[in-house]
Amino acid sequence: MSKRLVFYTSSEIIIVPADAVVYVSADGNYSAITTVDGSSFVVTLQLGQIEKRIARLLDENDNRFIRIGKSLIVNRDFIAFINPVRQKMILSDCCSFRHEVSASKEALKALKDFLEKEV
Amino acid sequence: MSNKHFDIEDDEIRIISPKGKSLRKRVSKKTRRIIAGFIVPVIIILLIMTIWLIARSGSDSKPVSPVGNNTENQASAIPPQSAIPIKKSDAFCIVKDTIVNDTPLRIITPRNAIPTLEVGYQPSADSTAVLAALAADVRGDNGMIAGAFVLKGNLLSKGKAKAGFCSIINNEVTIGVSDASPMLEQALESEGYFFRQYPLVVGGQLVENKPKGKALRKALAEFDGSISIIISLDRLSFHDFSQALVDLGVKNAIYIVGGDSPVYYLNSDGERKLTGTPVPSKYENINYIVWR
Repeated sequence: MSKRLVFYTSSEIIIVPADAVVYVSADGNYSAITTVDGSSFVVTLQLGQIEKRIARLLDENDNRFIRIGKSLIVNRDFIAFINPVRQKMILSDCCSFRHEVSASKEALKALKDFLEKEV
Repeated sequence: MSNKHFDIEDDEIRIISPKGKSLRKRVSKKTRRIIAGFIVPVIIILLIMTIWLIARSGSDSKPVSPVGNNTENQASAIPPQSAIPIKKSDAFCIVKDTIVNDTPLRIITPRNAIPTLEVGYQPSADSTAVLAALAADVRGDNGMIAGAFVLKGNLLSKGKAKAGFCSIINNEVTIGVSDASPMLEQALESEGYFFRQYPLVVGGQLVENKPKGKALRKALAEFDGSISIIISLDRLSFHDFSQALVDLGVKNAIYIVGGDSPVYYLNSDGERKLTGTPVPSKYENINYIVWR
């Protein structure tokens, strides 16, 4: 069974399989966790806190999540398209969902270069 | 794990790994080194030289003249972008790509250049043009320019096909919307220029237009105190394009010929660029707004 990510505050708990998280976006003091079924869970945690929890919960060699700038964490398994010039990235399983997100040109260029080196 | 470890800038990425063993990938390190090592000292030296020159010239400096009064409602005039004599080599375009609510836009702003209209003109053969884009529509049935069109004080075409207008009088570009604009008369009297197009934004408010299809769109816009050409990099409806312009902060804008129409510009590196596809001069009335 896939590793489960658990995010909790004093008032709520969100439990999602790591495989099912497409991306997490920041919205001030809140973060929105978007999953493969299209659900979006808003949790009262900052993105940095989400990042810490992910880092703590995942296995040692599991590095599927990538923090991009101040506002985004993506699951690299779903990165389908990156265009740094147009500041565009599409996260998709090429089957049932497609999310378009944006980040800085420099960050997307770095991500593109990083993924190219891994090929 | 300290919070400092989790600090990140917008131009950075970081692979999230367990136990805080994050790989930090500072993408802008090289750029920052360049800025710190070269650009910053150069800027400081230039700043000191500028202050020294200003102190020397003393009373030679002239006050900036205020923007002239608008001649009618819902129209605004942009003064020539420099009150000092313009050297040809100083003219160029600032080109900026941006995204407004998922709508990618390219903003091309001419600097130190004088606008005119040209008819039957080939921009590819004009090495003096800083920025050139198709202006008024040409009718497919008779090859005439749609709506009133004034070229150096000469009325080439009559009518009010569209309510938006652009006038160029004494090198000042005015964009607005009016069925009967005094700017037309002024253009005729002062050897100016005038054409009509769809209005997109007036006083920061969206203007609805009838055509509903989607296409690459272009606008002549008053934005950030300058006149710019703004191009949509995605196919958009009139409504969505106008909304993107409003969201960008455009004050006034009219449409110019869209689709794959060409826009020629000289960037700040002195490179001549083209977006779109060059058009053969199929119609003798094909017309451009040109900055030189």
